[in-house]
Amino acid sequence: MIAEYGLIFLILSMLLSAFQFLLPLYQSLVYPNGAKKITISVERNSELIFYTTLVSYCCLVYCFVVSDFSLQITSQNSNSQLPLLYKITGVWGNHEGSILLWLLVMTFFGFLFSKHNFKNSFLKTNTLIVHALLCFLISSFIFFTSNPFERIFPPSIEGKDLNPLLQDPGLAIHPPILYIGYVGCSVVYSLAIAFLFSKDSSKEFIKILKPWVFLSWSFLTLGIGLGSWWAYYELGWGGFWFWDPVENASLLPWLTSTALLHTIIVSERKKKLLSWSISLSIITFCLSLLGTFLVRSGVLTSVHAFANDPSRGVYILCLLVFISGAGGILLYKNLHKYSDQNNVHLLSREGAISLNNIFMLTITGTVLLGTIYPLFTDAFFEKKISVGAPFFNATISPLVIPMVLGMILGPLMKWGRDDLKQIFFRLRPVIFINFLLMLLVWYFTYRGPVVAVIFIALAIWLATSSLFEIYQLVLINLKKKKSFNIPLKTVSQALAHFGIAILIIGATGTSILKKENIQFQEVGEVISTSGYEVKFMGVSKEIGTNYKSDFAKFELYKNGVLVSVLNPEKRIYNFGKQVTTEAAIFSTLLGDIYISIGDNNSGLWTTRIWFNPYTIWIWLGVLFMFIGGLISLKRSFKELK
Amino acid sequence: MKINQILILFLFFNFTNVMSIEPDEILEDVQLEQRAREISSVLRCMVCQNENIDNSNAGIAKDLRILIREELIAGKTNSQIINFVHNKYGDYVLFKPPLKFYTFFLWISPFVIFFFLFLLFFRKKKID
Repeated sequence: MIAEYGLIFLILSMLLSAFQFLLPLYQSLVYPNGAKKITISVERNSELIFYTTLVSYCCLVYCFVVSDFSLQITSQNSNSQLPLLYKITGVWGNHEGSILLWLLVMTFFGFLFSKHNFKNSFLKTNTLIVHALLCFLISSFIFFTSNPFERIFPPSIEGKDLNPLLQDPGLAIHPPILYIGYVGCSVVYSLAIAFLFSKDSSKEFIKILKPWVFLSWSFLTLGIGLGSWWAYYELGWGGFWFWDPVENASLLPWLTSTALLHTIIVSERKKKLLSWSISLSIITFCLSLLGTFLVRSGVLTSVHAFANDPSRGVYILCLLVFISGAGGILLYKNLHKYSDQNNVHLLSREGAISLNNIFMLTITGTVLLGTIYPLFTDAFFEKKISVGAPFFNATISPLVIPMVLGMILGPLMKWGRDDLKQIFFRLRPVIFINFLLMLLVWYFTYRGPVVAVIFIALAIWLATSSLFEIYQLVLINLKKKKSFNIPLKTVSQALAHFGIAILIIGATGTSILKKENIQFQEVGEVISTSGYEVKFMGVSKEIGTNYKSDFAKFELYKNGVLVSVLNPEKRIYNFGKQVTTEAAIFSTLLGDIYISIGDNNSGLWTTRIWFNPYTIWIWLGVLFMFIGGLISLKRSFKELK
Repeated sequence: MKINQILILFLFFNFTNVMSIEPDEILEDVQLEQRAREISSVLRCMVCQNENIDNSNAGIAKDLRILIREELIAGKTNSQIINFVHNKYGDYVLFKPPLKFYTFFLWISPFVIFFFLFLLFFRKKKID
């Protein structure tokens, strides 16, 4: 019965969304001056849409928790033996549930936006109307093509298992976080569309837009970081980024929203680049949808492709064409209004930002094209090709180098117009420090490949220049006001750039400098790698809640002192008999010891031991960016008041 | 439906097993082994979702890994071996698509996009 309530509330939510954009449409057609009446109802209605979706979602969670296997979705993706946590997270471990979560987050954003207090009621109302239209499109998609409350007859006695790869705390929180990022872009999109309809001043629009961009950007960053962390420890290859279509799909909106938040800063300060800000707002949400389309439709196979149902693909494709088409036409019709604002000199702060945005969009375009190009050659030339990591590494890495240079020089340039000599003069201390640091890098990594040296040197330069920025400001403030107050704007920017710097170090170390030891290892045998001794202590059989495992024990010594005991596992899940490997990782700032076990070959175990230099810096970098984003978020909300 | 199920089976099969290069495949000669890794990182496992032959535990990938090492010992160069595999299996096996007329646009796309955007954006200034 609960499932039926869920369905009823889903339909209610769909109707309420439809009501919210149809009523104003009707009113504006019949009474052109009836705007005020709608305002109240639109805000109330946004709340209602959220509450009904929440109830519907809770019904689905309930069905998972009590293991109601008369539902298609639970019988396929849950199991009575599953720990409670994974019963709950199993809700979004499948296509239908994850789209319902998407809708829930989306309506929550509508709710949040309706609570967002600012004076411009026209912009607010219109944004909520556009947003309701988006909610309607998604909820009708759920209702017509992927109803999570579908019953099966006869009901199953026991459910199939949740994909064991998803039975993991890292992956449990990854989708909701990522969705906050993805779906946050829907508010940004709605705002941009509403603004194109209005005749308001750009200044207010940018101020309202800003917190939402920072919000979705921060969570996109964190979500992608979590996904990458999960891939690192769960897939057992010691890699963190595989250029899988789904990873690419999440990277695309991240890149454009990164470009967006930079143009917003310029738009706010110099009243320039407004057309960029609007275009990027629209493009970012379209790319999040495109990612969903690519993944859900099954045109690109991937681990995340839960279901390959063509009708769903067609529906999302239509949705995508409608949303991007409408945005595109509106943009095209209105863009000429702002075209005079794009006069930017290359040698200035905004010039550096713009140039970096162009690099960022080039990367976006290349990744997008690389991801869908195999479909294109297959359709038009009947040629099957593969575009994978080697292609992306070869095309993207050269683009990263000038971008990092831009990140180093940009923040130290002046707004408006700068002079090359003066830039050099201001940069002298940084250049000197960096010369020394580069010598150090060269000294310590000279055995590594040239690429590694280049990237690490650049990253260190970026890190020092970010710190230098903060240092300079502290100095100025100490002299002038005798206080330690540093503008938060600079702090968040420097933090995010510093995050990128250490992320580059981590990525370079992990992908280029790693050391591997693969061997048949006897019990008691010691393998030495990078200053550590790894002693294999044997494998025992353990029984978990819903799996059996080969539980290995390794002792990790450094200079003869025991530093850690590591337990990599190989699990066989009771249902479906799927095998997963759980790597064991010992992290230090200098690198990770990463162990996974393979098969038993008559007493000898295949063990794979990696030393991954600086890997933890990747996640630290992501964390720094996230914190930087949150600081900006808080500040931009404050500014509004 | 059947094909889908088989695909899904492959999917789990591949993703649930660790990097499948086995200790007995690894060459004694460190430099040759390094080159073998370079070669296998650009070759796609033909029956997997999106894995190179180093990470795949499919039989065909293992055969290729062994073949690469045999050819290396026989003194072939990296590009000779990659060409050999390419000729045998077609474009699909290469993760870095070869430059042909139908991949031309893919390869020049970063330049095209960059210069297009650059002109679109900084062209304004010259008129002023």
